[in-house]
Amino acid sequence: MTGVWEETNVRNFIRRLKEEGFEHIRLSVNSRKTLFLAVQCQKVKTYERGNSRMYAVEAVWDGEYCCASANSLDEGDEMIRRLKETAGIFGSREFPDKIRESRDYRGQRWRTIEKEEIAECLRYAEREALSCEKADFVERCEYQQYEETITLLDEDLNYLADDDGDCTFTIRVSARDGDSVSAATKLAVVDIKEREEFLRTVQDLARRAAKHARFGLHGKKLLSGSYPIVLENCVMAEFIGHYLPIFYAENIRQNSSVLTGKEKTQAGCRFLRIEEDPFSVKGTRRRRIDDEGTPVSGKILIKEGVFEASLYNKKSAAEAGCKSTGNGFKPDATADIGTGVTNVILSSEKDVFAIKEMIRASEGGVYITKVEGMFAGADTESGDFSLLASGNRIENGQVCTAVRQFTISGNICELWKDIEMIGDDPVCRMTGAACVVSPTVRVKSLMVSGE
Amino acid sequence: MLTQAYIEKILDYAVSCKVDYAEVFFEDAERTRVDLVDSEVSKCSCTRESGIGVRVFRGLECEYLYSADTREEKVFRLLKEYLGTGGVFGKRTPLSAMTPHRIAVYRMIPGSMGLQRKIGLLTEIVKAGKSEESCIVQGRAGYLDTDQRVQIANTDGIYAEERRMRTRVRLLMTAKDDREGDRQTCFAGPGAMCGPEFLEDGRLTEHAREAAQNAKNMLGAKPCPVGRMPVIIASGFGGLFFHEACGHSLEGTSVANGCSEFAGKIGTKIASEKVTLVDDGSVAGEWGSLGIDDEGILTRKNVLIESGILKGYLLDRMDAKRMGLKPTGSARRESYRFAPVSRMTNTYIAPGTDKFSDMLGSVDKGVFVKDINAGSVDPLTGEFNFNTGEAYLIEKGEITVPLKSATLIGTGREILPKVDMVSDDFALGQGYCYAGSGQIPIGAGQPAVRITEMTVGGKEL
Repeated sequence: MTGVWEETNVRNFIRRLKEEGFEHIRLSVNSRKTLFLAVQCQKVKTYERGNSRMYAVEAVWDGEYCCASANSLDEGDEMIRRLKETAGIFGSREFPDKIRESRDYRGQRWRTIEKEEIAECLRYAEREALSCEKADFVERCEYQQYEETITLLDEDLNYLADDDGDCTFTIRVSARDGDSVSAATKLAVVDIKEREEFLRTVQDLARRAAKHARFGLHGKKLLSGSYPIVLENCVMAEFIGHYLPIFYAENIRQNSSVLTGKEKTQAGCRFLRIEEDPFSVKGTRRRRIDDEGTPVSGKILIKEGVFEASLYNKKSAAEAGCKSTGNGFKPDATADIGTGVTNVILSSEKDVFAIKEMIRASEGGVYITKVEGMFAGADTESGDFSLLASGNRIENGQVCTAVRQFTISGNICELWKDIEMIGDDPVCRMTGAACVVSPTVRVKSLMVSGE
Repeated sequence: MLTQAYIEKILDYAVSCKVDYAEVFFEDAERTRVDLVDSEVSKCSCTRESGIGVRVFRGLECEYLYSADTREEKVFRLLKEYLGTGGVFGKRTPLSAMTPHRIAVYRMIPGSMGLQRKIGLLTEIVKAGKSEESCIVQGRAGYLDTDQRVQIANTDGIYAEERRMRTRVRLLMTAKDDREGDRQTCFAGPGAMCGPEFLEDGRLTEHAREAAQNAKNMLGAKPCPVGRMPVIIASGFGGLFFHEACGHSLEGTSVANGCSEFAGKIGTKIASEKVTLVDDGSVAGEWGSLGIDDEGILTRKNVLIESGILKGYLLDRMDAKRMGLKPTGSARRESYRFAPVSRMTNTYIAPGTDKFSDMLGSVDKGVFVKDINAGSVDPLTGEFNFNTGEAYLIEKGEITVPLKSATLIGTGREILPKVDMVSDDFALGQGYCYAGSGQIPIGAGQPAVRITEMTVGGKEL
């Protein structure tokens, strides 16, 4: 495979930086390819294709760390001016290391596929959804694919290359009955190359979305009070994904994490385990190095309910006097290095339960299948959350009446401590660049605000 | 910037591929972002990014191609691969230059103020906030400036260029009560369509001080009550309430395919007669403004609800085409990587005649929301939520104890008729909206409003 280290403009630019007197040069090249296709009413609604690239330079100028980025190296003078301007503004920052040995970890994640072939599969999914009882309209029926390649080069043109990417299918179906309307969204990471399996997956998701939308019709309001709660796997995954920053060392140090000062203390129930596993087959992330070139690694964040480990990039590790844990990721290609994760998995260190058992054990409770407002309503500093929710009442050991238009409130650490049962149905959800795997969980109680 | 001849060549090629409409969008943007924790720079990025987006319509199908590499051979390779090999006779209207509204009000361009100077000014602002109250233990600031130059041209003959300059500062002050261990953080996020001289405006220091005072006031906050009760939302960024409760549901993206609770309701009463909702992207200097939208249409004042009656929607070209209506200058996108869709700009409720003191005095027990963090909505069902930043309990007409953050919920059709008082004060706040075409700057404003009853997602029965 060829790489950016062979491109003349890249080699010339690094040579120019050296001639200008920059040292400890680290060039990071982020290339991204995307494809998006949406079908509605059996016709292609939107088709998008694109490529972008970003060059980010870190170096040392006049003894000071500096950085800048641009998506073209043609304006080399500009980049050099910006590099010099940033020199000295950071209180302390580790200088970029030399790359000891060039390695290429790329796995070629892009799927070459014709537009019409994807469209045909999506039309099939739409028809399947609309064939279900009370299904009224398919608001979204979309296929999305991306590949991101990250290449790090040092001043001697040693390189590290890695990539990631996936293909996802999303369907949102609305159901209608008289004045009542309800919608449900289902999504999954798919491989369109395996056509038969892809069709089975989209059929299953389309039918499940239609079924869930139908279940939400004529939703009743709940009386305010404290209820036993079962959080569906995708809802729990959304919780974990949103609260990942509480494990980031930079946030813990800045007192902006609910876990500040709680190292080695009980943060969850005694059988709760949360770990990062970049190599797990359950997850979809496949990175082998982070955006700083540090190898990713598995680590236990919560073991038997005890908060075990924080996640470090090079800067936060240097501040803490330890080594990076391979979690130096950029939130986007133009941003400064932050902290991020690959695959995060919630599991039980004891028994796991079938969802039916969890429902039976939650008489009078609420089965939550959807939450909204996580972005604003779940605070990582205090751990408090207050979210719009919907789902079903649990009566006579079964999921029954749809309920909606209520909130659930609590605190993430209290929620983890109140987990009484963990399910056997892990599902994987993307939250930003991270993949979170979580099963359904039963929680002792949460405060509900309704009528 | 691209030459006009190059743009015309792209449009000529597109029309030769049997398309009904083609559009070229080019941007060249410089962005500086700095995050400060107390006086230390924790993050900084200085970026220049350019790219091209080509969009075509074939009937009601939209195709969008983008590339960071704007060299002719790269762009034409993309066009040939996905639009077809061309060769069909196609016509387009010759390009004619149009002049956008002069929206950016700037004295300096971002590049003319050195980074050290920007950081120095930001540090002073944070210091002023920290020294305002002895209980402030941390001051954080995020600075952003952008200098974006865009070119938009299409087969209808539009050719426009615009320079969009924006500067914003986010200020977070954290107060701590050592005895109780309670920590509270309050926020101010002023922004404008202007240059970095914004940092020299003394009002930023006032914002930092106010955030510090608010954080102090919030110490000892009690859990918010649960249930349904009257709610008063203060003037300013409280307008985000309407952005969520009905703004998104009036965007063509939801309305055109019937996936909005307000689809097909033009001319009907959907809110109390006290409510007049406007979206105006043409306000000079405002954070959510732009001189032309991202389809090359002049922005304008769109009255969406007038005295409770639904008057119009926000429409981009494609959704307008689907609905047989005209676009409203509302198409927006984060960058060349996104196709434009209908989005809000500066959305606000027009001032009323009620007095804030009367509003407060009328509530026996309720919640006063002084500041909103953010929110979201499902336009189909109309179910929205927004989360309170700074909020207080109202007891017997008086603001009493501070309340911890809570989410307030409702549906647009249920809540809009319950807005029974609208005060005569008015302010516009600044923030971001995240939706189909990425993260865009928006304004949200209102006078103080009273909602007779809504569900408050607190923790205490």
